Amino acid sequence: MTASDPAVDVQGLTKQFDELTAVRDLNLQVHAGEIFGLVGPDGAGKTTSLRMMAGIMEPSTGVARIAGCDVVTQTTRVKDAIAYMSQKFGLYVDLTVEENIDFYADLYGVPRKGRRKQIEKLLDFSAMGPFKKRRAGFLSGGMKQKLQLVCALIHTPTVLLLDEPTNGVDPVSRRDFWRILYGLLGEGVAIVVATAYLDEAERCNRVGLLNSGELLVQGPPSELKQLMPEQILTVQSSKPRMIYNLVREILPDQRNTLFGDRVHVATKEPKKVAQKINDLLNAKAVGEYSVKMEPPTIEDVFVGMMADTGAEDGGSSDEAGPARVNGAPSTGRPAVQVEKLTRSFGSFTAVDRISFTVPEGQIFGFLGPNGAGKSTCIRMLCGLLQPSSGGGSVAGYDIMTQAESIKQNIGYMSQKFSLYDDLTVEENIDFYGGIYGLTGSGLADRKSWAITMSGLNGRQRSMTSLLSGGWKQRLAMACAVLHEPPIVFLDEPTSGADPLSRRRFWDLIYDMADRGVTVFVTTHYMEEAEYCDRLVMIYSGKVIAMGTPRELKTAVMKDTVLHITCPHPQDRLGLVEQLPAVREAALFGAGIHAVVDDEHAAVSAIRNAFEKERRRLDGVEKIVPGMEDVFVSLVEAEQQNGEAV
Amino acid sequence: MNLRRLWAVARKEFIHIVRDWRSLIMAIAIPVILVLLFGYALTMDLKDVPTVVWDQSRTTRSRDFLSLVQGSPYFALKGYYDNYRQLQQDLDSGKAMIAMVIPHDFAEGVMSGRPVTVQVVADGSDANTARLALSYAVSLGMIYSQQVTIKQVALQGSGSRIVPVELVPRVWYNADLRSQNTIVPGIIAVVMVVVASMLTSITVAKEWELGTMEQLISTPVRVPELVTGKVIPYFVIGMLDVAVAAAMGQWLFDVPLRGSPGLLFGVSAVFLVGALFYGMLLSIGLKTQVLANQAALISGFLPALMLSGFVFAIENMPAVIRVLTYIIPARYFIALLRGIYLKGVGLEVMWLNGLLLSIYALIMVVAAHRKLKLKLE
Repeated sequence: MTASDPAVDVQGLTKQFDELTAVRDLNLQVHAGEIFGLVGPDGAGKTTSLRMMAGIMEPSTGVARIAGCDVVTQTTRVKDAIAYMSQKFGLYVDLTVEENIDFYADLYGVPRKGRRKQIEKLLDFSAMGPFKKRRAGFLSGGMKQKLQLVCALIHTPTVLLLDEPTNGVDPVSRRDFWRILYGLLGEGVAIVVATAYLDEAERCNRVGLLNSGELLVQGPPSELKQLMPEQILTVQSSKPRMIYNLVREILPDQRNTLFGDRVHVATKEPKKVAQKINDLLNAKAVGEYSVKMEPPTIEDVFVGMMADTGAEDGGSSDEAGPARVNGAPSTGRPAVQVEKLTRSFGSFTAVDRISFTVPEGQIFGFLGPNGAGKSTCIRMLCGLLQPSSGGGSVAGYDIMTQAESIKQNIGYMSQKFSLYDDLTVEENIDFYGGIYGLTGSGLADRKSWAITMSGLNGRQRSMTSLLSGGWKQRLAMACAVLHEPPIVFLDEPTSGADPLSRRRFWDLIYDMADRGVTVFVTTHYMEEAEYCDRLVMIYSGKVIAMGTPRELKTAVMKDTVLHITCPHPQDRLGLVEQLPAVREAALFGAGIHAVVDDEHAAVSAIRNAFEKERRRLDGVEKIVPGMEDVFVSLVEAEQQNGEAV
Repeated sequence: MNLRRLWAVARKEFIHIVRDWRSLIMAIAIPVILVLLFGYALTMDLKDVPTVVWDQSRTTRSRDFLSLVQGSPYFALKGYYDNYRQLQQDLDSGKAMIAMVIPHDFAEGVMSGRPVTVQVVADGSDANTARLALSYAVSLGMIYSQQVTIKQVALQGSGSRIVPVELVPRVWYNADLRSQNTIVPGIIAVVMVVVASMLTSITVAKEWELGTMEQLISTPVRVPELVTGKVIPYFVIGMLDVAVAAAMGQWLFDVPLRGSPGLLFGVSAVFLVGALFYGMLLSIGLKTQVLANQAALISGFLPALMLSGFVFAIENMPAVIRVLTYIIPARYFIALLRGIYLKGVGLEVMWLNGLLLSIYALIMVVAAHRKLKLKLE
């Protein structure tokens, strides 16, 4: 292998499982120091492709070479050259952080001499140093992922293969994770990463869009964006859902999508359409909003391409019966109310005197980094876990004393889907119907509703194991609300789902809220947080912020955020970070977000720095911070407070 | 094979065992419980069989006979009746297992040298015990007749004329026919089958179930490192169990170890290797913990108990089953153990058993290695 040979060379790779072609004629090359993003809907073949490259699954036909070695005939050498990170947590929960790392170091034959130093470096880099002696099972989701990366990196690999490494990881940990990846690129590692986060895809040197096992396109993000025949108009406001529905009515022909607090309209006639939207929104008096033409994001490209291929993986919820827009008759009492709710496990306080109120019919978002106590709190509210002290009510029942009544009146969907894989769709629904005591025509009604809602008409007799992720998610939710509870608790319902499935899932959530159902939801996708009516953010078991998304972005987040547009932002991050005028900088989508104190001083400092280094700078502007900015800056402030104390 | 990787796998497996105290307790407690259970409960010796009597004769002669019965360790007289109805009642209710009826002409018969018949009724619902009890009763009858004869001869003063032929039986290897002496060596085999197959049957399946296998096979680890590395800790535990079982046999049940202790541990090690890799093979093939565990228990424990000659003599089995016993490794192991324990012999006599056991172990080692594929399907 010479320096110019690709580190990963895949030619005509195909994998056939009985009837199903999981991957068809895959061709791609990744060079040293390059990061290649693999995106696509659930079941597109991302995992199968990575497994074949890692030499742990035999291709049906085609060739894959890693550092010049064939993955089938030279598996041993391939395994020495790669580091692979599977989607499932692959480490041992009963081993400590250090023991896990040592185990992998031994497997990779890392010499004992100098190993300590390498381990310390990686632990420092991933901010895991203080947790060396902790068992892996007691780490939060984000730390588990980082540990798995550290274990994979203990030998310096030529090629790093990552299968959705940041699923279920909070934004702060996700940033840490990507910082490590960029460090590796500098050392000449070639990286292939499958991801469900399209903002991560923006940061890759090249991106491939996989659908039904075929690579539809591949290229640098900037090139892919030029493939879009339409231009993108964005409408930003504090009522994105409402605007989305309005725009959809007047522009049924254009592709409209909701991204956080913005509605994206893909159109070939931006001027005319912008005028039309302005007219409409002025007439309806929707309050503050702005319409802008913006360069498309990878997600726009993704949504557009998927729409073109007709890869709709389910019916819409529109046929699910007339929406009771005014909701159920309001009883005027809050759906959830807690006062100083506390739960300790031994000396550890998972939830520490939390108080909040959720009015009926609202979508209430519950945010926080991994391990902040979100799941513990939800379990208490659902009557699954007894609080240590404090109290509150859910659906009018006391959480300390009436757990059984609460369970009758809520729906709960956990991160792990509760469906039985070896039962058919219909049998799963029958089972949950039976548990909730539905019989006869009541059950029949709800069953047909559930099937329509999850878009599974005609597939009632399919085995649940054969459904793709998005369908399973919707079916799980349908089962959780079969008994029409007034309150639904969703614990990271969209974790790991592709953007289209996630969007369809949120349509369902809105549907339920329209019918007067109170929805309590946790998520790590910050654009989903924008869809909530109200948010509470917790950290280390304590509430650190509360309010509407707008309040959080304006009142709570007092810092100024600058958006820097430039080519290869990952390479310019260091340049921005080291400026004294910049407090913090992080990659954000296809650009850099810098948190600054003095807008003008910072803008000129950034411009000067780029000029001095002779780097292209496409723009610096002050923006309304996104939910992710808010989240990260609040959490980092708390972390610093914690360290100061 | 890379020793560093082998050791890494073995050490990791050790940590799993030590951290999961339940598995550790199982590995140590189950052998102890099994040894106690089999050692005490599975005894085939008969003692104090509840017996009821209807003595129709009521003479010194008949009381002589009954005191002989009472004096033996095998029978315990629980009641004296004077009708059949009560005898039957006690047999029906299980209060007695043996009923004896001494005829009214017992004394006359004995005095006059006529044959006398004592009726013995046994509860046949427990065939084994009944058969043993009956044979003891018959022996008692013979002893009594002998005593009578000797007395008669002495009285007549012409001793040299009618001395009956005397059989002097002598049992080798287990002179007092204690069943514990034969059972304890067998228990070692059963304990090892249970412990070995239970422990290893879950290890590989667990990694598949948890998803750690996918990560593991992406590393340079090779099949022998993974398979052997995983077996090492369980081998240590298994040998510990052998020591515990042997110690309990030695000091708790007073089973003599006449052969070489080194050989005992040596053949145990060979057998253990076979059993451990058999558990691995199941774990690799079945891929789920519950299934592999059940399969290991049923396919390991039951044959070792039933078909190895541990409880039931192989010679008495129907021909078809007897053929089947040849594929049960515990058969050879138990034969070896009994040879070492009771006969004090070594491989110079039992080389064939030793050879067959080694072949079995070798087959299991190879099969487990062949079966494990470091690929996803």
